[in-house]
Parts: sequence; C-alpha cells; structure tokens
Amino acid sequence: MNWPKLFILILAFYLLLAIQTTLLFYFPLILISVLLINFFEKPQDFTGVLAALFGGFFLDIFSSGIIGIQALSFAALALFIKVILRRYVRGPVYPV
Amino acid sequence: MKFYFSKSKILVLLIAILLILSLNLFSKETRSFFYSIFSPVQKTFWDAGDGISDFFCGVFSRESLKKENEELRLENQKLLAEKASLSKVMEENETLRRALEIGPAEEFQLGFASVVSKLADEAILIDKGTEDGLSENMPVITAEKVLVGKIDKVYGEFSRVALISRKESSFDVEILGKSIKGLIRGRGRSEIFLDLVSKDKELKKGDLVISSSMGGIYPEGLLVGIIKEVINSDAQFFQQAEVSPFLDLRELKNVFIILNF
Repeated sequence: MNWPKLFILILAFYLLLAIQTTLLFYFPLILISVLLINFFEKPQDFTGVLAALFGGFFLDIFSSGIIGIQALSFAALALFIKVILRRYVRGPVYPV
Repeated sequence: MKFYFSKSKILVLLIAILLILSLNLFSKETRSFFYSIFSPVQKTFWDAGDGISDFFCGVFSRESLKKENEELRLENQKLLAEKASLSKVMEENETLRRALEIGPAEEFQLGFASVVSKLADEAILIDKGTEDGLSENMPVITAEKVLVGKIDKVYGEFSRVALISRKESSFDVEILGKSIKGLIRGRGRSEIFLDLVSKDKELKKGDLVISSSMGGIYPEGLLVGIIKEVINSDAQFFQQAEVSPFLDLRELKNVFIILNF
C-alpha cells in the first residue's frame, strides 16, 4: 500500500467534499472525480477504487441514510469501470 | 469470473467496507466526529461562497441583473409606501393594546446558530446541538423571519436542519391578506409548490405565502415565498401554484432557532 498516495487521496476528497457541500450544492463533484480517476488511470491500478470508497464514505457521512451505502456503490462502480476497460477497451489512453 | 486485482487488495477492500458498515452501530457519534473535523474548512468555504457566487452571477447574467434591478427598484417604492401605512397601523395597534391592557405582542424565544454546510437530501448543518439546548422539530428561521425548515437530527455540537424544499416536507400555509389556505410541498433542489387550494379561491401571481399554525409544525406568520405561477387544471380537484421561496441558500449565513412557540 502506498501510504503517501493514500493520504493525499483522503486529503483531496476531504477538500472536494468541503467544496461540494458549500459552494456547489447540486453538482456531483465527488462522483465526477471518482469517474474521471477510474476512467483515466491504468485499469490495473487500485487508486480509483480507494478514491470511490473514500468519496462514497464522505458522502454517506453528509447524508441521512445508512453509512456505507454510497461507499459500497461507488466502489462497485469503480470495479465495474475497471472490468469494462480491461475487457473491452484497448487504446493508447489505457496502456496495459 | 476472472479477478483483476490481487487477493490482498480485494481483502483490504472488503475489510474497509465491513468497517465502514459497522460504523452504523455508532452513527450519531461517527457523524458528529466527522462534522467537527470538516466544519472548520466548510465554514470558511461557506463564508467565501457568497463572494464567489456573486462574481459568477455578475459575469454570466448581466442583462437579467439589469432587468431584475429595475423590477426591484419599483418593488422598493411600493414597499416604502406600504411601510408608511403599516407604521401608522402599528402605532394604532400599540395604543389599543395599552388601552386594553393586553401588553406587547408575544415574540419567540430564539437561539442563534451559524450554517456550516449543505447536506445531501435538502438539509443544512448548523453549529449548535444538544449542548445548546436544541432538540428535534424546532423550527428554524432567518433574521428576516423567512422559514428555513426544522431540525430533524441533533448531535452534540451540531444539528441537521431539514429544509422546507425537501421532498418529504409539507406544511400548512395561507396567503397573506386573503382567507386562502393551502399546503406547501417540497420538490427538492430548493423548489416548493402550493397544493390543495380550493378552486373557488382566487390565487394570483405575486401573492405572498406565509406559514400557518394549523398543522402545529411551524408558528404562523413566517415568510415562505411568493407565487410565481398558478396552475389551474381541469384534471385536478384543487388549484396548485409554483412558489418561489424566499429562502436563498447562498445568502444564508446565520439562522435562528425558535425554542418555543
């Protein structure tokens, strides 16, 4: 596990959540960030899945539902994107 | 199905999810803890937000601002005239109260709080909680007596306020100066609409909607919004209306909690 990378990731999502909940009320900044990370990183990288987990968890804290629902859904979405990219997409953007 | 990640990575992910789910056993404490971690940064951003949104508003909507400014100037003149006649009525009211020994009109007992952030599901977070004597279902208003919503969850140092625009929100209202009663329903994304208004009543664009004490949720006379468009369809048993709420989240910095009413 790359701890400095993990720390930066948590810090980045902390700031993204602060921005989403104060400046951009209805813009899904965290979801879009999670999607972008997962689309543009190498399919074998695990950072996107962790980003999805943290992003979802932070959103769970700031919603009234069950804690973990969004973390779980975001992580599943990240894994799904990675499987799709790895199976069906071949191109210079996603070198294997 | 083929796994694309090592077993250890999948194991870490599963343990993390289990840990996160187990936090539901202490959801109140967990949320309170994270709110206190996030609140300093969120408070700074929230306070800065007004300036930033004003800047973008100015850049992108110059023409509409000009028109709005003109309309506001006209409305201001109208309000000044109304204010003058109202002050006369107030003076008369005060004299009559003294003569009848009724005493001054009752005001609410209020608590003060600052807004920390917007939460999901049409709610905001304020920086006062059980430690400050707040409890669930207390109405929240602005300094101008604009209805914000009611407290739906209280933590130690924070409270969650469900906005009137929340989809599950509905409460009794009346039209100022007319004997028209109705129900305001939330629509999400800061939108509300008026429902259950009898068809024989005359609703007009520009009518002021204020809260009514009938449902017992909010005290009467709090400002809710202004009618934008009346919808009178033959398929409906009641009249409906689009209401433009007075509550502007971007302008909201501080709120008052009605402790008793």
